Amino acid sequence: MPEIIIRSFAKFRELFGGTNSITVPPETTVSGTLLAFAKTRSASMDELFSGAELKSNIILMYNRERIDAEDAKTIIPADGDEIVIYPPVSGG
Amino acid sequence: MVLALQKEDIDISALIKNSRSTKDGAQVVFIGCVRDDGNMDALEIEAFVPVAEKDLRDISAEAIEKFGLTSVDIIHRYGRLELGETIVVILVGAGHRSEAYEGSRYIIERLKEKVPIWKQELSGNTRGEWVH
Repeated sequence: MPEIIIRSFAKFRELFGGTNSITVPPETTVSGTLLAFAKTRSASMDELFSGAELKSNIILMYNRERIDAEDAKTIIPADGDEIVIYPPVSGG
Repeated sequence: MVLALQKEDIDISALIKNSRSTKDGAQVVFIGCVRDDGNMDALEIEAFVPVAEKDLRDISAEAIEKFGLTSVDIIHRYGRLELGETIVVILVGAGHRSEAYEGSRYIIERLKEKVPIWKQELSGNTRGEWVH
């Protein structure tokens, strides 16, 4: 079964830790991987999901490329791939 | 052109001197700094550095294309910054002031909406809110 790396920044890093990994069944999508991850942490579900849908203000990257919530429903990560999650940015 | 994230303070004079060319009729420097809002004594700035640096390169290329700039330098700091310290410097060169001003404004707005950098307020040893 593929092991997927999940990296978090800012508020999400404080809540979930900076780098985690999770093993998911084959053919699990990015969204499904994050749902499985969220179920392992009490704080995660409310922060990341509204029902079964990823919250719209969460920024996602898959292997360092930005994706949206619709992409997350179709992309199937492979073993060793990286998903990054972070809240809205505030640089400058 | 310098497009980077760093912890160290920024030598703005050196940046201006190194960037200027005989094509420039104007240079505009934007400096973002840590404002005292009365309820904090420092900022912690977190960045996803490799992605942020790629984004700075992309934004720089966009601005050069869009406004015909002769040069773009962007340096954004991260780590703990005290009140009054410099957070970011954006230096643009152009043939004329209007392009330089517009290019500078474009770059800071794109940076604030896109680049993975976050600010957290610090008060003593207490970590406060993430700024949005």
